[in-house]
Amino acid sequence: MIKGYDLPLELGGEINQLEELIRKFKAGEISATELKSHRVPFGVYEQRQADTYMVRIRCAGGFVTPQQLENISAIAQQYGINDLHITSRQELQIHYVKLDDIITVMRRLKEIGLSTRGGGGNTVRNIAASDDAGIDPQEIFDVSLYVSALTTRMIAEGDSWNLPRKFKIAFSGSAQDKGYATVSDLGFIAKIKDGIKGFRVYAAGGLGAKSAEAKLLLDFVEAGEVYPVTEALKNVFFKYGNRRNKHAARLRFLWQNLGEDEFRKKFHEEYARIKANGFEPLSIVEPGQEVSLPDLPKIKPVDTQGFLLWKTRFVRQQKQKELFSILIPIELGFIPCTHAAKLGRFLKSFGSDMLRMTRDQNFLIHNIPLDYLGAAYNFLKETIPGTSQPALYGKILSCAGAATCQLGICLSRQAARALIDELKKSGLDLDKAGDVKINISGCPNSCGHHPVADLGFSGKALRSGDRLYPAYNVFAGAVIRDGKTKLAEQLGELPAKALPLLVKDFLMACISGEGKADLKKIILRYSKVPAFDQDKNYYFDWGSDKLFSLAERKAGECSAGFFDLLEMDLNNIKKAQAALLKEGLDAGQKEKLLGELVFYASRALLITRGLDAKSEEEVYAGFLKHFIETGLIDGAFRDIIAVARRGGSKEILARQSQSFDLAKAVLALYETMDNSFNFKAVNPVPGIPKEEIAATIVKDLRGVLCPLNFVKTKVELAKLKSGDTLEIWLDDGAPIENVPGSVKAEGHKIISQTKAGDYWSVVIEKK
Amino acid sequence: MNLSEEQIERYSRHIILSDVGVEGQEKILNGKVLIIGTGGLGAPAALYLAASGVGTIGLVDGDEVELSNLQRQVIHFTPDVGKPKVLSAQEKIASINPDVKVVTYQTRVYSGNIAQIIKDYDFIIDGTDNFAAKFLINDACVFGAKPFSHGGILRFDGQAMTYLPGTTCYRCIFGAPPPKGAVPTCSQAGILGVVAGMLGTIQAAEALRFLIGKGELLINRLLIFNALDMKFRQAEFRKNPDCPICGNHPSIKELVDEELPACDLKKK
Repeated sequence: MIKGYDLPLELGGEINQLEELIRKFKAGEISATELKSHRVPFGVYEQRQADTYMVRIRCAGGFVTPQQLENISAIAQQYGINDLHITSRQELQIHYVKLDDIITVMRRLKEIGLSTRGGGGNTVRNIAASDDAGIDPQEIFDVSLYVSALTTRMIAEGDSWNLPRKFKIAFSGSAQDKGYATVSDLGFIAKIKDGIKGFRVYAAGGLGAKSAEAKLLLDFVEAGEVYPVTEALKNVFFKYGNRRNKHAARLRFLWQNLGEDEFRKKFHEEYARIKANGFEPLSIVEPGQEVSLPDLPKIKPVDTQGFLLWKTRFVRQQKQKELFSILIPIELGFIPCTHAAKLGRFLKSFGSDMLRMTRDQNFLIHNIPLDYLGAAYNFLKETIPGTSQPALYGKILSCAGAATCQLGICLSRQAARALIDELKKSGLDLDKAGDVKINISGCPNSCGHHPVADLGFSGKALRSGDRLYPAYNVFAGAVIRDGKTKLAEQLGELPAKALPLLVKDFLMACISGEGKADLKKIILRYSKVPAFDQDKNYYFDWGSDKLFSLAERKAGECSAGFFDLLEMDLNNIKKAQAALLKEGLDAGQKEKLLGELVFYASRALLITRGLDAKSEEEVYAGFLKHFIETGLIDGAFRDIIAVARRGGSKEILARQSQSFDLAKAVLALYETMDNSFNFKAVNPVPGIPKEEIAATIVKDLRGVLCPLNFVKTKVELAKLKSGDTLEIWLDDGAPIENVPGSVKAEGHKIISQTKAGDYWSVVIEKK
Repeated sequence: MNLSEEQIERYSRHIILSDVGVEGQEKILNGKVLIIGTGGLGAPAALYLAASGVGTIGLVDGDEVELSNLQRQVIHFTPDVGKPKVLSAQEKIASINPDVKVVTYQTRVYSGNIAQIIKDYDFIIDGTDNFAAKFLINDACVFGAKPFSHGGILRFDGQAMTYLPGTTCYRCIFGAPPPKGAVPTCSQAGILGVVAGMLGTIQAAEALRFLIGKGELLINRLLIFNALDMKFRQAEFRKNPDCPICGNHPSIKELVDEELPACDLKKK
């Protein structure tokens, strides 16, 4: 059994490192943003409710073993809320985990062979596949082995965690493209050419605020080339991708910016280089057919009529003729842990290759022998609500929405629930509506997959008079198929309150055979919004008793990391600049703001040099080393840095214009940064003359013997910053004969040495 | 962190050194070093690290002090015979330097406990006397991304190397334990007491220099000496791409206990 993936060796150490960062964050040693930049690539996102986190578990191609499902359920029950969530990229998520429990959860998952690494951030994300890979009678061959092997390889490579933006890979077993290869950053579609197994390769597609179909990159590569093709594309992305604007960073933007010819050229350069250097192909071992009959009675179903209806709705014959697959509808992808645990226990007796999460957030059971369908039906009917409902309910897909996601605009999930309630009330015969994909995203980012829907929605805010109300753009008509993929087009917009009614009317049209021709008409029917005093309902989102607003929305966590840290400091600089321009500041306020300005200006670009400065001292030292000494920033700024470094309060007030110039120089340098963090030195701001600095600290070392007087001098010097001065008093004799010499030998400067009565005063400038 | 007057005096000979200074001493005081095995190597290492002011010293050993240990395991004294080694060592450390926090683990290391034990330390010293433990420590440190010092002694010979994540590991050089019986143990072959002291202090020096971040550690090189002719030499190594644990295609994916040869001495 080789499905799933192998954990990288470094995982244990990486979890230890994250544990240390969490400790530092709790001790106030690092900021929330810094923790975020490490936490998100580990698949841990903060939820809208403060201090609660979502943990996303990598499941290659939606594969988990029944045993893993049972264990995950237990972990979720202990540390999260009582539901597991299936994502639209075939992963499992645990919600409402506390910061203190995250490491324990990761270690427990590691014990059962699972990792959250790459669940978020600018990483190689979960690799998706058709959920019926390996059993689909129409597939060319089983792609799931490639998904597993490629996952194992990708998660062991360090550069998979530090890409310009996320990188999504998908596999499909046939031209039907059930894995969405044609709308991914990198997609493989199984193909056999002249009797040789291989793939058609698509690239630079993806769903998001600006979705795009993928482009055909290679018409055919042999199956052994999956790794070098992936590696080459990842390298192109790593080297040339845009690291400055996360809103235009996905691979599809690189395709746009470079142009098709240049993109292909760069890809082929990388591809050729990797092949020339030699590479280890993925190890693909075809597993033998696993035949295991459970220790279960071959029971007759409890009610024949219900059983037959269920069979038509959910059961499909596999390409292995004696085996069957069963779709388990999970409303909006949420399943109580107790149900999931029971499901795991039930399936365990059949084998380990039994289960997939589907892209429409359901479970698909594989490999049930005909004689056990009755037992499966009885089990599901008792355990999973919805087993006796039309399949369409389970297929309605929504993102998490504004209830938990910090980016959300509309409460998409609550809208989906309202839709399900409306349909249940309607009495429509949904079995006749056909396989209709209804996908709802709470904002323009396509987490709810609206661009690939038959009927899709994306949340937005509209204004009526002076009030906001929740609304959705309406999309329809997506085609996903090798060579024919076309994303859904936007047909109009409507208030959130009207969404369930619009869908009901649309399905009614489908059932009666009218189809989507009428959709525009239906949208018009519902697009009107009554004034606030006529019907306040329209100004509340589904499931919310608060007037709709965007106040709680925050900037997204999705690409946390590099950008956030950099942008945070650039904003800090701008904020300090703006605050300093205000009138009526007293000296104390000015001093503080100037200090901040110089600090943020010094820190902002350190991250481009791989520095994660932990203290003010490290910030200034790093800035001197990497920006001043390298000539990227004019050496004249050494002075203001020295002042800031020793916290010279009065001195900084006298250097207001110098502080502003430093900030300007840093911002100007940032403007020259290319995608690989290289800068062009800009014309430096004219130099500023160095000023005198006053000594402050005096240490009386009279009566202290050699060498302890020298030791204590060193202790005092250690508290100071470079350029600071210290005055010490020493006894005559051995002390004055030895200590100044030793101090000098360490590189400090003796500024003066004067006799005052029976002792000596020595002034030292720290190196 | 502010040094007390007593600390300034206690550590004055460190502070005077320009490569240590106050900053270096503070790093030592904040350091956490784990010593696995409080025998020939662990004893001198523990004594010197304690005297140097290492903030936390962890001691791992499941054995009790035996009379035959005293010839070289200088942290244990004659009245300690029969006492658990970690307790005997803890008492000595406390009387050398009350600044030091000692954590004891009265157990041997095996695959099931080592990851948990090493997790809280900055640096690990391998002071064990058998190949199974040496390979296990290497593997756990590679998996846990922990720096450690390897040390081995026999008769008049000693060898040491240091691993930092990403550098040559013990398995890069030695691959797997030698066949049983191929290399005699100290109890069969004997050991000159001071050789243990020499090597244990080299390991302690590695730990201290790691903590203060100065000098060149014994990484990617193996220091070998013979105390009979008093000759030192070193062999340079590079990370081995075929290393079974940190190479390009590792075969070791989890901690395993190599076969532990029965202790010949105890059978007699």
